[in-house]
Amino acid sequence: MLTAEDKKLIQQVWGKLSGSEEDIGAETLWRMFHSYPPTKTYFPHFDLSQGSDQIRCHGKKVVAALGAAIKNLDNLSQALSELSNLHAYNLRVDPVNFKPRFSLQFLAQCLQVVLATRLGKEYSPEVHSAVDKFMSAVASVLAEKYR
Amino acid sequence: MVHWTAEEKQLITGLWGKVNVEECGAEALARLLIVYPWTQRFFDNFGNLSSPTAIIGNPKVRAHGKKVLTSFGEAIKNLDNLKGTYSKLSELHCDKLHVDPENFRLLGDILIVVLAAHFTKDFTPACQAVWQKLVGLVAHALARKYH
Repeated sequence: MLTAEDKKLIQQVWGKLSGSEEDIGAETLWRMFHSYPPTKTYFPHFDLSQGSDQIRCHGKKVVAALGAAIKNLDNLSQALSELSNLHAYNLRVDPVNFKPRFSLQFLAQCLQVVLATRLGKEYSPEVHSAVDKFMSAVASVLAEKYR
Repeated sequence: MVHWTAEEKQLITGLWGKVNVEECGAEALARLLIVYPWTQRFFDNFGNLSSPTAIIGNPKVRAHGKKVLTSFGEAIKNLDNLKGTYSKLSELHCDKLHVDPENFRLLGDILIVVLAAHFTKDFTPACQAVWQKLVGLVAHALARKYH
């Protein structure tokens, strides 16, 4: 699925944004809650106001997990194995593969938007495509254990 | 009946006023064909779609992108009657073009990423939320006459 070129582009993009991971995570989650209010249902225990510590903290976790996955693009299944179990059995966040489109897809769209706003013209169609494929692959792995 | 607040309408028309419809349309359609290559199935007669560079430079892609986004502009002039605005186009996409409505949602999300890359930090979370609502409603209106 991910070509050698895709992997290179993803690692490059991630490299460019190193240092901003926490901001990117927080902003992605914030945009997701704002554009897709149903995603808030998974966080009834959170303070979801803008700038909340919990959003920052969770955003940081999500981005760290993506960063770890990016270091293991040749073996996403294994790299994301623990998270896959967590999302399937404990969190049961609606996965992307089952129609119609669900939460993991919304997270992916919001991450795309955050990266695009930060990189502008540098967010070329090739980079956009590589990130989209990566996020699809992540969602697939996370959805593997659902049933 | 869709409800738009004055603020939402302003976020839409305010941004739209700054959009170069031809460039943005060309970019959005090109990205659709690049990021989701299976969508090329609808454009067999467009000539060379063999690489991202070919797609971006393809004059038929540019022209059709402009057409599609110009139609989007019509929707923006008629936010209170999206269903009516897209009634005929919905029939066309079903009866003559045979396009799976999922493609409208894909294009909508791509358009959002194009706007994000173009407007960068001005494409705020509030802005994204309204535009996600708009593209969702446009996709819905286009799918409405399917049978």
